[in-house]
Amino acid sequence: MTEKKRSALMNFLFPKITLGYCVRLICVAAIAYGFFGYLCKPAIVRGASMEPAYHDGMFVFCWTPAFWRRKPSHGDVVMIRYGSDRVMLLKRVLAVEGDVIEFRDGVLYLNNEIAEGPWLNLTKCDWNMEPHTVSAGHIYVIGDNRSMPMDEHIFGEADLADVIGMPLLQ
Amino acid sequence: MKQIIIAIVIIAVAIVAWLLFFPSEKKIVLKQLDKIIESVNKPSDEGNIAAAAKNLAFGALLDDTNEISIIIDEFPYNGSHSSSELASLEAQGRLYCETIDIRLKGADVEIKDGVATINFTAAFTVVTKFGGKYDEIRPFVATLKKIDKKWKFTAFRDKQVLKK
Repeated sequence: MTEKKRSALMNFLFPKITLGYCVRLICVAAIAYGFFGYLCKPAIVRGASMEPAYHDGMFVFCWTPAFWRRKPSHGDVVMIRYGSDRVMLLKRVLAVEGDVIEFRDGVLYLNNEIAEGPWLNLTKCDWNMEPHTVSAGHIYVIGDNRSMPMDEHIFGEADLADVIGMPLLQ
Repeated sequence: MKQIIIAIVIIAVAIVAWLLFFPSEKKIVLKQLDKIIESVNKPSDEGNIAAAAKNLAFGALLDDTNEISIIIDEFPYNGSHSSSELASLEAQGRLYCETIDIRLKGADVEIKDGVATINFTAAFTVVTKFGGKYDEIRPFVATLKKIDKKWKFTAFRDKQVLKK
């Protein structure tokens, strides 16, 4: 390594603390805090309710601007506030406001017609659920892993105000 | 240059000291939540004196001027109770449990018109004396009022995030 390269490396690893360096450091810290604290929140998936798309222990980012200009629609994976902002539910939107959702022997019916989409039959399912009309300002969310018994699965109608964002790189 | 950096460091230390010694109302409210969770938690080796001290601490955190409302799904003590009644129920309930471990996963505080509302998510691990084990994460809402310059709990309810 030449003397010049070594000096550059030492300057990078141990920079001189100047006013400009302090200002840059504060700016970078503020931008990182804003970006990772509000726009792109890091999270770890816990549980198997979104298998096979999202595994237990998987690292994801919650992209909060995703629904600033549009509402969640069928097939979107959303992250929903679960009490506080630091705990979120990861679920897939299967119905939006006004839709009538129903399960008959594991087949999803939307507005009395068999629903279609690549996300619908990711696991085997034998659920039966009475028709339910989704209220205004709400979405109906369910995890992808419907091979587990219905009463062990957290699902239902969520308020749009509780939707924080969607995972990046779905 | 050196003086400017020293000045920045002094200002940063002063801000940290200020935040530590004069916490915001929100932090004081969160501290009350930590205290009530600590007073309910029960390690397996808890003695009678520690249990009594925790029960006293639990009662002191509740509003003793009004009834406290509890609306929690599948909870045996739902309804309105006085602080002493609730402290006694808490002591009874703890007797049935071998261990109670409540961990706060996240909490957001909002203070409006002298009422603090905490939206929080807690993870429970409860082992009963009869061998039953409950392990779950649930969201709750707690309400506090400032009484004699201290924040005291006035209501607890669970938050239904998904309605079936």
